Amino acid sequence: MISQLAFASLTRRPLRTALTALGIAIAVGSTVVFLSLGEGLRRAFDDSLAGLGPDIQVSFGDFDATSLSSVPQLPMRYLDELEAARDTYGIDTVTPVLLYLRGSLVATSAFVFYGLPVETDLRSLYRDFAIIEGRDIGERVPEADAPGRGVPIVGEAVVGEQTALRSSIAVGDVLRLNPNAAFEVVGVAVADGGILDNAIIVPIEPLQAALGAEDRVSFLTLDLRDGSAATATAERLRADFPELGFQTRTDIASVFEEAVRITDVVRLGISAIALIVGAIAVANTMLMSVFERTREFGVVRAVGARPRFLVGLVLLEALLLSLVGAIAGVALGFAGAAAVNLFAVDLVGLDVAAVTPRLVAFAVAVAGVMGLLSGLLPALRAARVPIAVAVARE
Amino acid sequence: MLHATGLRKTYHTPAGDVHALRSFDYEFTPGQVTAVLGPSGSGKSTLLNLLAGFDVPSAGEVWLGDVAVHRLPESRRAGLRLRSFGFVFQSFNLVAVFSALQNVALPLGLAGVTGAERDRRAREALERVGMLHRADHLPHKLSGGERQRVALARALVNDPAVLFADEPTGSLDSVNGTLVLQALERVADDGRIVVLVTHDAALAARADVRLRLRDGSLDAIEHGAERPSDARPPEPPEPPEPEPVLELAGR
Repeated sequence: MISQLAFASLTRRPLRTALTALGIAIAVGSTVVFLSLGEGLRRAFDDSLAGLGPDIQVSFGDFDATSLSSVPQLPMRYLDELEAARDTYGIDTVTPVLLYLRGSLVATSAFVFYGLPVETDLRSLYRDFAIIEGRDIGERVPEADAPGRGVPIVGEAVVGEQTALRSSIAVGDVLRLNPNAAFEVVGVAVADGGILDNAIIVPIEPLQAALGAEDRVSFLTLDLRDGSAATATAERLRADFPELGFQTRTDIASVFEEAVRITDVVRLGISAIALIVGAIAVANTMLMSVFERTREFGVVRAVGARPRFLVGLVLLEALLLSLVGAIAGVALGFAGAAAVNLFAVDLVGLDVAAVTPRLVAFAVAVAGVMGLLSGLLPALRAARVPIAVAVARE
Repeated sequence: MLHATGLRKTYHTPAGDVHALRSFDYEFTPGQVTAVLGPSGSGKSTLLNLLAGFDVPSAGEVWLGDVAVHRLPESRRAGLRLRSFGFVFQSFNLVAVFSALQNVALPLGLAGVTGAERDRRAREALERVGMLHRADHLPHKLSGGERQRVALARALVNDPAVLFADEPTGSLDSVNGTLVLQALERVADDGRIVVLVTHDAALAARADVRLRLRDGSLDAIEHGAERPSDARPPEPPEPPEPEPVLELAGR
């Protein structure tokens, strides 16, 4: 009965109802577009972050400067254990890494050797990694009597661009690791500011052999099937492997999230103006409606309706009006975000606006609350209509 | 059944107190039409508002059986209006956006009657006043007499003990006025209390009891109906002839 009456009342003046709903639609639509910018930035950042390195890095104990010491500490058996437990933790790939810092009194002769399995696809870990000269490292049978001052060449190397420039290294050069092992440079790579720019990438096994550490690595990198679960997965791993250290990109992400949240507040503030205007439109429509229907409300109460029936009726009408406006507003928001992206892709190469399910839910919820709040005063006024005065009114 | 003692209502206005009803004592009898008469400002409408629970008295008591109407909070007075009282107004007061059927179903819906049962009872009530053929029409598509019959169906649909009628024929021509009056008499014949507020002396003459108000006080009580000698037992009003041409023209 109450829904019949609410619906009939809203359709009694279709133009006024439609214009009010349009006002709400514009308010909600602009809110959706404003907030979609934050959602788009988050999504773009997550994509970028996914290209900045592994989801989780595993070290023996906490990861710090000593992890780069000449003695790798993480036993290789953890590689097998984590490989075996890939499904348990949602791990996609486990990659062993051996970092070796060859120190020198001369800065240009100090190198960071970055030992990786030959088959490692660095582009999957570091999105911007690219060979800019020569080729990637491959399997190579050690040569006992190769050139390079009598030191055997045990493998190939790709040198980061920064190291190549700093130390004047070119394809074809031979880098001596120690008296027992040298690597031949077969390529130069860039990784856009990543650690690899300053490293020399070599196959891990000959590096382990050269250092006499066949059963140890510096750390393992874990690439997860769902990168967003890194923090939770790291927590589980810490509990199961208390002797190991697990680092995620959460720190970077949380700093970014905080920055986006600040802009969220600013954008929400701007949107609030539109929402308040929408709320005033609803309140105005409902107040006019209540005033026009004073007699009707009096009659409904005369035949036995309690005051709360009228409160519910007016609130329901305001809520319906707001939700219809919200649905239209979300549609406007989708269109607006698409229009923003049309320009943004040309300007910055990114889809900066994204209308996510949680944004849609937020917009509809805000519209619902707005409807209820703006309907409250008219509803209370409707409930206070004196019956005797209302039914006598012409 | 319904009785009032020492009933008084004073409105406090910036211009001073207005004593709308100074003193009223009376016990209404079931099965009778009781007309409340008096010139404008004599307190007729105020009395009806107090008896019906639209308003609360400044002093005095209103009892329906053993229920102290004057002491009830608004939510319980609403329940009393819903189940024990019916109302017919001069200006019909139908809900404009509801059809005749929905208007009659409104008190049933408020009383928690739902679905097919609500529909059945509302149709029965419309049939009793000869308006079933207009069930789906909105009020503005009905004539004055038709609207008042729909209002009567709405007033009776919850089977009330008391029917209040405030100038029920004031907006009707004599034919429709007579039809409505006959319907009220039939309601009283069913054993209900009918309280009829009017300043139409001819109409009041047909009532079983006439209460004359003057300056907010009960001035005189007169008994005996002057019903026309040819008064027949109450019949449901005949449905008006269909108006096909006007209907097709979308009147």
